[in-house]
Amino acid sequence: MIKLLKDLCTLDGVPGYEKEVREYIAQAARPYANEIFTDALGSLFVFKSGQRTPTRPIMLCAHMDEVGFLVKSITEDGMLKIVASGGIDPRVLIGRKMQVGKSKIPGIISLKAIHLTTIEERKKAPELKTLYIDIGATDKESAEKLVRVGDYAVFDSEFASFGQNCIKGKALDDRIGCAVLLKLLECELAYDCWFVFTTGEEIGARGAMSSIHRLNPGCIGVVDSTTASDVPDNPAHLRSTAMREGAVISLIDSGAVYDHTLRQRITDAADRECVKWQYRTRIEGATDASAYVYGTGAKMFGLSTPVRYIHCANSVAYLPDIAAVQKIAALFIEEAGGMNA
Amino acid sequence: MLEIFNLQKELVKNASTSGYEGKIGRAIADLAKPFCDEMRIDALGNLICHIKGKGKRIMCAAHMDAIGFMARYIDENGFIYVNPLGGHYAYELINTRVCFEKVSGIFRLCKASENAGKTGKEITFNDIYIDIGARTKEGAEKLVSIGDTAIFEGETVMLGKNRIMTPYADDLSGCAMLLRAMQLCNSSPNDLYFVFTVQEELGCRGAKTAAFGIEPDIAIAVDVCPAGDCPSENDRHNDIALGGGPTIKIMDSSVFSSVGLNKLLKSVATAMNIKTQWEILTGGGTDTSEMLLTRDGVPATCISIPTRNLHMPVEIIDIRDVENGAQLLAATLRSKF
Repeated sequence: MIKLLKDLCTLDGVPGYEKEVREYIAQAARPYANEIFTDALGSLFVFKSGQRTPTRPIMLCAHMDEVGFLVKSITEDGMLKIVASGGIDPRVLIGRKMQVGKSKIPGIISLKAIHLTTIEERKKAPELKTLYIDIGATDKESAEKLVRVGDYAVFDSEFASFGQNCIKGKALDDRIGCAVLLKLLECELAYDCWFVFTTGEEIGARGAMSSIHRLNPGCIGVVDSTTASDVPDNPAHLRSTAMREGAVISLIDSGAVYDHTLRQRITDAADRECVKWQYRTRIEGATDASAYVYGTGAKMFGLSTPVRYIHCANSVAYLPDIAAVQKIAALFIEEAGGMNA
Repeated sequence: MLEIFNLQKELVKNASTSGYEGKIGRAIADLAKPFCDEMRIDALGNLICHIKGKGKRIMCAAHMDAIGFMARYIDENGFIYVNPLGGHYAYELINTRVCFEKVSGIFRLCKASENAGKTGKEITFNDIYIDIGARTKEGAEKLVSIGDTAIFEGETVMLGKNRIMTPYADDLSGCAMLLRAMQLCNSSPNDLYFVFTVQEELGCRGAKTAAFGIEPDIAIAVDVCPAGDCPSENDRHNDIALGGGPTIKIMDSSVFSSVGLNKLLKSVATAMNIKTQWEILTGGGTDTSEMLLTRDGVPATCISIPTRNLHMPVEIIDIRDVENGAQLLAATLRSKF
C-alpha cells in the first residue's frame, strides 16, 4: 500500500490535467478489469465483475485531481503569477517549493524578507494575487522558454512515512481514495462494480457528473479524503473528524445527503467486523457525492480518510485509518449490491 | 373532501427533515393512494403518484421535506450542537422549540457568544446549542445520537376563520394543495404525475432526478412564496397578500417561468373566477427551475401560497389560497393542450 500511495502522490494532476494519474491507474487496473475506458472529461471507468450482478449498477469513485495552480501571466522580470485551481489557503503557500508544468520546472513561492516589511504588513495574510512563483528566470523572455501561460503548478513535496504509522505528502486528497480503489480491484468482489476515477472534483465534482449520467447507478460510494480537525487550535465542538479514529462516514455535507438506510447497513456490517469508523460531523465541504442528482438519482454513501492539513503541501494521514477505509469500501459493494439484488 | 386545515395538521405530525423523508412519504402515500392509479418511490425517496391519461405528460411537484437540524456534537454536559438542514438564520432560532425523535429541546445562545456581544448574522451555528434538559453527555446520548435530526415543534392553529399559523406551511401546505388537486383530478385527458419531492430545501435535488426519470412535457411546481403584507421599515418588498389568491410565478432568482403556461393558468383562473396574484421575486428558488432545465428543457411554472414568517415555526397562510390553488391546478390539468 505504501509503495502504491507513494507512486500516486508523486504524480501531478491538477483539475483538467489528470493524465499522469490516469495513465498510472489505467495500467495498474487493466489486469483486473473486464472493461476499461476514459470518457470525454477524462474520468477513467473500470468495470469488474463479481459473483452476482445487481439490478441497478453500483459504482465506487475516487477523484484523481488534486488542488493546484495555473499560471495566469508572466511578469516582465520573469515571475509567474498564478490562480488557484481548487480551494487553497494562501497562507500555506509561503516558502513552498513548487513545480511547474509537465517538465516539472522547479520554483519557489515566498515573500520579501522580514527586514523590508512593516509591522502592519506582517499582521495580514497575503492574498493569492500578490504571490508569484519564482523559477529563477532572469526576465520574461527566458521564463517563457520554460513555462507558458496556462501551465499547471503543484506543490513540490516529498512523500514520506513518519511518526507512528503516519504518512505525509501532497495530493493525499484523493490519491488515498485512488489507492483504496486499486487495491479493491485486486480482490474477489461480491457484486459487479464500476470503479470510476474522476476528474475535476476540486472545482465542483465535474467528472462525477458525467460519470453518474453515463452509468445511472443505484448506489454510489464516494471514497475521498476529509478534514481531520483534531488539532490544538480547534475546540472540540468545532471538530469534524479525527485522525486515528478510523474511516470517516458522511451524514450530510453541503453537496449531498447520504442515504441513511445504506449507511446503517454498512455501519452495522463494520461493527460486526470490528472495523473502526467515525461520523463526519460538520456540514461544510462537498465531494463527488454532490453529483448524485444526475440521472434518476442514486443512494449515496460517503467514505473518507481523515487527513490533517488537507489541501496543503504536506498533508498527514494514518495508515490504519486507510486500512479501515479499504475494508468499509469492500463492505459497500456487498451492502449496496444487497440493496440492488 | 380533503379539508386543508386538517390535512395540514396531519402532515405536520409527520414532518420530516430534508434527506430523511421516509415518514412523511409514507403518510402522504396513504393519503394519495385512493386518488391515483399507481405510485412508487425512487432512489432518492421521491414519492411519484401517477394518474394515467393519453394526453400531455404533466409533472406537478410539491416538496415534502422540511427544514430542520442534525446533531453533530454533544458536549460533556449534554448540550447539543447541530448542523442546519436548509435555510436558517441561527440568531432567529434562539429560544425556539425543536424536537428530536425521542425528546424536545430549546435553542439557546452560548454565554461566551452573548458576552462577546455577537448579534444578528454574527451568530452562527457554532454559537447556539439545543438544551434537552440532560445533565451529562451520557444522559443526552440515551436520547439523541450524532446524526439524529430535529424539527420545529409547534401546533397548527386557526387564526380567525381563514388563516392558520403552523410550522412547515413550506411546503406541507403545498403538499396539501397537491393532494387536494389529485382528488379533484380523478380523470383527466392528460398523463399526470404528482410528485412529492425530497431535498428541495438543500437545493431542489429530488425534483431534478424525478423530472429526469419522468421526462414531462409540462411541469408545475407548488410551493410557498413570501407575502409582502407585513410591517417593514422600507417599502413592501412585494405586493403579494395573504388571501389575495394563489400566486403564479413569473420569476425568481433561479427561474423565468414559461410565459405560455402562465397565460394558460391565468385564463383558467379567470374562467373559474379564481383570484390570482403574479409573483416576481428577486431571491429564492423552487423545484420549478430544476424541472425547467430537465433534459432538453420543459415549460415550467409554479403556483405558490403567500406565506408570512417563512422558515419560522409560525408560518401564517390563508387556507382559501390553498384550496383555490388546488382548484386552479386541477382545472388546468384537466384542460386540453
